[in-house]
This record gives sequence, structure tokens and C-alpha cells, in this order.
Amino acid sequence: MIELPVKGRIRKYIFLGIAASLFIILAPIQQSINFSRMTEDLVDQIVIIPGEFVTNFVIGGFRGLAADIMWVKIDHMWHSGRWFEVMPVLRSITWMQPHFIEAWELGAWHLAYNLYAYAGETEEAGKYIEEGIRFLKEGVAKNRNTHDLWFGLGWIYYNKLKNNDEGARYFKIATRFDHPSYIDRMVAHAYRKKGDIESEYKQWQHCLTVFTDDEYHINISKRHLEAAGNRLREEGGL
Amino acid sequence: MRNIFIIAANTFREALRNKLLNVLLLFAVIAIASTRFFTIFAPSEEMKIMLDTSLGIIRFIGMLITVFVTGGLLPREMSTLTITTILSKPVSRTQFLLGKFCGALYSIFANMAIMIVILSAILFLKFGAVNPEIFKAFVLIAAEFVVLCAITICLSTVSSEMFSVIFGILIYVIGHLTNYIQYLADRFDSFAMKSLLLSLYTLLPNFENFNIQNAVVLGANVSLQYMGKALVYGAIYTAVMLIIGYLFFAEREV
Repeated sequence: MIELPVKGRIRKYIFLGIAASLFIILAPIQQSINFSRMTEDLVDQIVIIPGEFVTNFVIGGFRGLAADIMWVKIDHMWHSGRWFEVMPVLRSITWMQPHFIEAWELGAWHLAYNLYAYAGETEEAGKYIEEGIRFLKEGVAKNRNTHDLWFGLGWIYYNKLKNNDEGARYFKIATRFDHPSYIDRMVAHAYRKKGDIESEYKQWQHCLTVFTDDEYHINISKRHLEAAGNRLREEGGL
Repeated sequence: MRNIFIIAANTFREALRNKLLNVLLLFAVIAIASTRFFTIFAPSEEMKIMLDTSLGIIRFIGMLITVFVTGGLLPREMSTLTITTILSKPVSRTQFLLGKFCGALYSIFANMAIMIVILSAILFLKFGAVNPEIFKAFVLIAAEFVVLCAITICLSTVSSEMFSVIFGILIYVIGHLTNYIQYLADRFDSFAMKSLLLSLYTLLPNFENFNIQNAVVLGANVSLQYMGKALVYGAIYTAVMLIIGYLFFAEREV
């Protein structure tokens, strides 16, 4: 703060004026910050329910820790056979931390595999797979730029529903983002299971152009490319 | 300027001798160091649990250190009458206030630096590397403490040490809930109520602006543009609080 060349009351009014002007400047800055938080996905969910409000009020910066405690609680629930209690807790975690990828993956897997198997031959079984897909799609909507959930979605279609069209589609989307080499290979596998040998052949060719320093990936891709080539020749496509 | 540095250095030395702050720091260091053992509960999420816990500890203990260091600065000087001796020398009230503010910041940053070094060392030992994005979270946590320090010093110009500390903590908590005020304002039809809530939303500090902890821990990339905006917000709010604090302090009889 500088010493102004005026004394007494006038100086105080000047300082008061400066403070008021700065406060006025704060409003548009706050608006701009709110906009950035939204576009950069930094906004934490606001929930006006007693538990969550109290949680926020008391622990403030410990939102992540609360999610971790619940994550640990899931493990305990799982081992004590309380499988149906897992989902509401996972929901709370994804509500508090929508970018916690593992929570979305675990929830979808739990619904589509564990609860599906638990339901056995009942009508409900199919609903659990649908629920798993819905849960994962919700996660994808909040985490569009990461391969994990796109791959997870493709995997349920491919592995659980034997819907290779959708499986290949989601695996393909997953490869648009930073991803491990096996996803490129999974696209080709899905094409093969779908019976689209030409697309499979092209995908194996593509596999040889990516992850070129991964010896395992290149070897396996070469082997599959050869097999796909043979199949294509048998069908008269090559 | 020289006077400000001298007062700041003295304030820093005083804070170093404060046993409560040393105990808080020791507690934080032990807590951060022990986060390594929490990970046995969820081995697949070691990094996340360590970061969530450690950043939470840094923010919580850092907040306590900030309000305890700052809240007592002026009231203690006034109760022991040392302020009269200082102000009888060629030291203006502005210099005195700024000196105290800078001194408090020295000790807050020094405490924070110790906690950050410990956390970085533990992360490095455990994972062999430290994600540089975490340092963005540290920068904004530091900015949050600067604002809180300015608010507490402003409160301490008109009140006792206890009042400043309690209200400092209260404002910190409210500052993390200001988004709820905007949320409520959006849901009111009454113009008067809406205006009141929106005025409160602007007047109260929004500490959530400095909260990028979740994003950083979960691997998101926070833009430098956002960092810049949050820092400008912090700088302006700090300036406003110091001006208001000065206006109160100028009126106060010592």
C-alpha cells in the first residue's frame, strides 16, 4: 500500500474507493474462473443432501480421501458377501469424483459380470448387463478423452453380449486416445469374430505400423496378419 | 521498504518460536510420512490414496498454521504494548501491517515447503518419480493461504486473537462452500433474495477457485490459463483485504 499525498478522511475515501473498485473487478474474474472450471472439468458435484453437505462442511478438502475410504469399504463389503451394497457406494464415489476411472470400471464389471452371474438364469440377469453398460456410458460421458472406459464398453459388448459390431466400434474409439497396444489388436479380433475378414486384415496391417518398438505386439500382429491373409485368399479376397 | 523487511523478519523469528505451530508441523510431517502405510487397504490405488491424504493434510494443517500465525500478530503486539514502541519510531502503520503480513507469509511458506519436500521425497522413493502437475496444486494451495492470511490479518485489526482465529477458520470453511450460495441463488425466484445471495457470493472468498486437488490426483491437466485466473483472483482479494485491514487499523487507537 502506498502512502498517498493526501491526509485524513480523503485518503480513507480513496482507499475505500480502490477496495470497492477491486471488488467490482472480482465479479467478472469469478465468472471467468467458473467458466474455465466447467470447460476444464474441474467442477466438483454440488449435492444438497444432509450427508454430503455435512461431509463437505466438515472435511472440506478431504473429498478425495472420503472417496478413498469408500473405495476401501467396497473391498470389505465384497469379501463379506454384501455384493448388492457395493453399487450404491460406487455411485457415491463416482458422484464425488467423476474422473475416478477405476470406480466406473469396477461398477460396470460388478454389474455385468458378478451380479449377472449371481442372478443366474433369472430374467434379472440380462438387466444387470444393461445396467453395467448404462453405468459405463455415464462414465464415458464424463471421461470422453481417455481410452479406459471406451475399451470397457467395447469389452462388455464383445465378451459378454457377443455383439462384435458394437465391440469393434468402441475398441476403435478407444484407439483415438493414448492407449496400450492390445486395444489395436482387440479391434482386429472383433472384426474376425464379426466375420469381416477384410477389415480384420486391414487392422492387422495397421497394427504393424503402430507400437513398432513393441516386439510382442509386432510378432503377434504378423502372425495374425498371415492367418487373416490366408482366410482372405481362401475366400478369394486377395 | 527496509522497515517492512525488518518487521517481516522479526515476525518470522517469532513464529519459529511458536510451540503450537511446531507441533502442528510435526503432526503434519508424521501424518504425511505415514500415508505410505494407508495404501495396504487398497494396493491398486496407492498413488491416489497417498496424494488424496497428503494434499488433504497439507491443506488442513496449512490452514490451521495460517490462522494461528496470523490471528495473533496484531492483538499480541497491542496487548503487550510493543506496538506503541514500534509506531513511535519512523514506521508507518501501513509498513507495520505489510511487515506483519509478509512475516506471516514467510512462516506459512516455510512450513508448507517442509511438508511439500517430505511428500515429494516419499512419492519419489515409492514411485521413482513425482508428477509435476502436483506442483500446480501446491501453487494454488499457497495462493489460498495468502488470501486466508490477508483475511485473518484484516480480522485481527478489529478483534482479539481468539476471535480472529475462530473467524479465520469459519471463513475458510465458508469459502469452500460459496458455490452452494450460487446454487441456492439460482433456485430463488425472489429478486431481493437472489441479489442478497449473489452479493454474498461475490463478497465472500471463493476458496474452491484454488481447489484443483481432485483433478490433479486423477491425472487431469489443469491449464496455465486457469492457474493465472485463480492467481489474479487471489491477488485482488488479498489486496482488498489488506486495504480494508489498513482502514480499520488506521482508525484504531494504540
